[in-house]
Amino acid sequence: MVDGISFGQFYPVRSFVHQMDGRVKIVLTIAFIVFLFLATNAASLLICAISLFFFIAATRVPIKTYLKNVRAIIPVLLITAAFNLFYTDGGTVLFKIGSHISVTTNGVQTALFMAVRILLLIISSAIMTNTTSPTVLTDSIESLLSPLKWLRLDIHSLAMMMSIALRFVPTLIEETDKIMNSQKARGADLESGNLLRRIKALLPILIPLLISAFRRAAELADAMECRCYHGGDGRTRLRVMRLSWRDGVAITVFVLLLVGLILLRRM
Amino acid sequence: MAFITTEQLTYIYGQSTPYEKTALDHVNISIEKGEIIGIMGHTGSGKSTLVQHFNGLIRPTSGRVLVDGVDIWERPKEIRSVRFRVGLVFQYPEYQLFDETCQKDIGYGPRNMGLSEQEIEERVREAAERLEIPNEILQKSPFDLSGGEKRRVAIAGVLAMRPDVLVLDEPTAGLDPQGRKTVMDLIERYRCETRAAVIFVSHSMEHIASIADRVLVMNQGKVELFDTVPNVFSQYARLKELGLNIPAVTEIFLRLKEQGIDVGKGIYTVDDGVKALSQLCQGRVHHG
Repeated sequence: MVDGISFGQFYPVRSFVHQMDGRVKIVLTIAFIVFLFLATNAASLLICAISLFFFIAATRVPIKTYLKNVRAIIPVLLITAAFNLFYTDGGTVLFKIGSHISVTTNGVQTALFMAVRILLLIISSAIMTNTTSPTVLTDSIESLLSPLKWLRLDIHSLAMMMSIALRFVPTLIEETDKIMNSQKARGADLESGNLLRRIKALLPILIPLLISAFRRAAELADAMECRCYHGGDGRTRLRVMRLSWRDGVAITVFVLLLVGLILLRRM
Repeated sequence: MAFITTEQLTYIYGQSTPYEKTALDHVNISIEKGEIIGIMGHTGSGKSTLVQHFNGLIRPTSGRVLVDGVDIWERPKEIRSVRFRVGLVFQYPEYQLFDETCQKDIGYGPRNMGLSEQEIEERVREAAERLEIPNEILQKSPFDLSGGEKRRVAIAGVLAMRPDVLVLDEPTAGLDPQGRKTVMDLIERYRCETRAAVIFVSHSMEHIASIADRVLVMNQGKVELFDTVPNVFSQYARLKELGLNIPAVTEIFLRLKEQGIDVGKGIYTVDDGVKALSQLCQGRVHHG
């Protein structure tokens, strides 16, 4: 069975963060990632973590969901930490492995720093995707990228393609499952043999999957044309995005955080 | 001896997650060789989950599935041999077609069995004959065929394995009347010629009444009824409660009876109905 992709799945509840404007959430998430790299000492990283914690609490998404998101990147976290641990010089040498690799106090510090940074980065983007539905997300991206229209880029089509792609991920996963089962019922052997044999054994699954993806695309295009879809020109929206007091509060928190970070850098 | 037996078969989807759902709940059934079994039930009653247990596509959460007296999960590594003996045709099987020609596609199962090229060819020809697939179609790409033709090729792909038990999940869904008849005839002929058991899931009470020996009614993962056609379709009220129905012709004769015209019981097919009516008319003429 193919497992669903669980990272950053939309978690449908009503909360402060859910009701924020999608565009603001995207911009603030990017801002937060920048802040994380401005934070060069422990105190500034700590205030980033604290403000992030307040946002987590304001999402009303169970902490378990965030832990699951974090669990997915533990390998990346460990590898980054290990590299920083062994390849940072300076400080007192704690111990040596062989004659070349030594672990220093600076190394431990940098490793910890990097790990916390990546952790906060992942959690901040998880907050955005957990609280923003894919539709709102693509609408927001379209709105944020709309200045690029002046460069004659077709932003509306890009956003439409993105939302269609997202919409069909679960459908295609289900389809793969079904085709796999029907070929297994005819004795397909997907689990044994060398690499070449396994790749060949995948063909009876990939070909029907590809064909059905094309069929679905053609059907969807027909259905859209039947409803007179003709691109973004003159198209109005069901949900018009407006800023609310919540966005004002969130932006204020971020400005305060930025001021705090600048002050801490001076110290 | 029963050919397929399930003992306390239970299957739970998404165990120990918030989405946990019991799809099968202590199912005990046994099916003999040479029987035709019709399975019916409401959407989500566990029909499809049950048939996927017969050939080991799904491993039971608890309980056992026995094929020819042997627990199919005794040697999980050899589960493929069970799939060759219990041929499963999925819903809308035409979406599984993949090879260059229909001939090669039908031969996919036998090739997986490790048979010789000669044997494979023989089996493909036999399966094609059973489904009335002409030679020129065999040489075509499956993607150039009509819906009904694709369906027949896909079913032939399972028949070519010469299974001892043929399981079909809604084989007539989306077919025209001619296509439905071809598939129903095939089921009966396959049973007669090979003495295999045939199990089919259907929403058509008429199809079930016309060819099944026994009917299995599923409801919320449990076996509600498992009996002969007359014994199941006489439980009119219970079936309605489950959101199921009885054959239209049976319903007509029940209404006639309510109107005071006694035409006898146990009419489940149009042929039965015609016979009963002509008898009634003859009786009237006689009395007059």
